[in-house]
This record gives sequence, C-alpha cells and structure tokens, in this order.
Amino acid sequence: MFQVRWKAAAPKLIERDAKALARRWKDRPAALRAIAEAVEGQSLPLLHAAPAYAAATEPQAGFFYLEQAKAMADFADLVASLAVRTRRAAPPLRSWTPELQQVQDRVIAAFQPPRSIDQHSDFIAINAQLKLARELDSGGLPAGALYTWLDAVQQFGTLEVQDPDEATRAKLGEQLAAARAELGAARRDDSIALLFVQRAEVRAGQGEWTRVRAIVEHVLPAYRAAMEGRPAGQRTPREEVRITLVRWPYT
Amino acid sequence: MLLATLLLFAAAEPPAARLAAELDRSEHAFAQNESKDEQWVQLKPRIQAVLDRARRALVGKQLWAALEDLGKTGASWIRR
Repeated sequence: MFQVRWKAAAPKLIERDAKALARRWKDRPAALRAIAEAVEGQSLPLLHAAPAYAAATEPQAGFFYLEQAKAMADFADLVASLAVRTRRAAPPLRSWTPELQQVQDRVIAAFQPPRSIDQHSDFIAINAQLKLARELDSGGLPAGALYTWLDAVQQFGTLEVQDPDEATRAKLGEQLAAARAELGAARRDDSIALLFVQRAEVRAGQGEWTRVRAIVEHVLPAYRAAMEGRPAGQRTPREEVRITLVRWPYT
Repeated sequence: MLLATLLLFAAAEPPAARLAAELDRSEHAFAQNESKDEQWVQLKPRIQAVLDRARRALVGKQLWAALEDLGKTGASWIRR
C-alpha cells in the first residue's frame, strides 16, 4: 500500500520541485525567497527518505515523511505566491560554504562534556540545520542557505550566551529598535535580517531573552559580515574524513 | 478561465490577509484533530504555541515572523 502511494506521488513531487527551482525571484524580497527555498529544499530529501523509513520501521513512518514532503512543497508554493515585492537592491547571494564551515567547526569544538550530554538535543538540532544549510547551498538555493545558516548561528548562540539581566534586556531592546530603523532605511533588501529582528521582537514579548540576545549579538553581526563579503577566516588545509550517521532527515 | 481568474485574484490579495486566512485554516485543522496518538499528544502543546506565536506576529505586523511560524506548524522544525 505504501509503495503504491509513494510511486504515485513521487513523479509529481519531483516535477513540482524542478518547477520550484526555476522560480524567478527578481524584485521579490529575499526573506520570501529564503523561506520558500528552505522549505522546498526539504521536500525531495523527505520524499526519498520515506521508503527507507517505511521499510526500516513501519508503513506509518513512510506515510508521515511522504505527507511531510507534500506539505513542504505546498507551503513553498504558498510563500512564492504571496503578493510581496521590493524595489530595493537584491542582497549579494553566493555560496556560504566558508561561513557554514566556520560554524560547524565551532559546534564540533563546543561538543564536549558536560554540554555534549546536558545539551545533546540542542546540538542535534544545530547540526540538522547546518546539514540542511549545506544541502541548500550546494543545491543552488542561496537565500534558503543564508537563512538556515543564520538560524544555526542563532541556535548555537543561544547555547553560548547568558540569560541577560534587566539592564541588558533594556539595552537589547534598544539595539533591536536601532537595527529595525537601520534596516528600514537601507537601500539594500535586508529582509532576511528583518526576519530575525521580527523573530527577536516576538521572542522578547514572550520573555525568551537568551534567544533575543543570540539574535542581536550573533545573528545580526554574522549577517552584516556576510553581506560585506568579509572572509570568514582561513582554514588550514588538512586531510579530512567525514562520517555522517543519519537516521532522521532533519531532527 | 475561471480557475486562472481565481488564482490571479488570490495572488493579488494582500499578504497579511492571505496569511490570516491560512492561519485560520491551520488552527481549524489543528482543533479538529482529536487523535490520542502518543506522539500527537506530545506535539500538540508545541504546535499550539507556534500557532499562537504566529497569530501574535501577524497582529504585530511582523509578516516574516508570522510566515515562518506558519510554515513550522506543518513541519517538524518547531524548536526555534
């Protein structure tokens, strides 16, 4: 039953993905493109993972990932269809490989006891985001890769920062307001940075101040550096063996 | 022809109004699901929190934050 449903759905999803990759984003906000790309980029990996889950566990798991693959494609279509345009200059989108590698190196270095035990699930989530960002980056989805990389920066930053005291919270609020004003006046389309500012504003309203702090102190500076094309630091060439043990696609 | 006209009309609709309609749809579908499946029961409060956050963002005219949260309600990445 699962195989029949999967075989019926797969060609349609593959065709939809090809059409999605050919979308034109001229005069569309980078944030819109970023969200659509980050979601669309997960559709086919989930589709192709579904039969393996069905075989290894139970058909229900296969159906779950198949339906999730469809939901991702549906949501990407919805995002792309929103009537939002911009007249600002497009941000310089490129491969974010150096930036991704830099965060990955820092995450690996930080993965030491007791944090590797106490915050194990947080590290898994960060690595899942970095994996997705690399896939988007190599798949020619640079806005989605930038957005997902910055999300990993936020998640890792949240592990690194202290919960701010009242005075620091007030200062963070001022920094957020200043960032919003700066982005509003910019000639460049910085809507991806604005997305994180909005995210921080919402989190501040919920009292999630470590997340706010991570966005202000880690994400926004990382975004600015990326836009300036600042080299993310030289890596020493070395022999490298990468072993990836994967069970779930993005968890 | 009628379908094409409807799609054009939908595409021209202001984004906040479309997001509000989609959020209504998501909340309705969420409320309808009374499954006792253990995983669903565990996930429900997290999804509800993301739906509430998306609604707050929409009310606050934080369109991008609302949009990404709306996407998370249909996905497994609701940690952020």
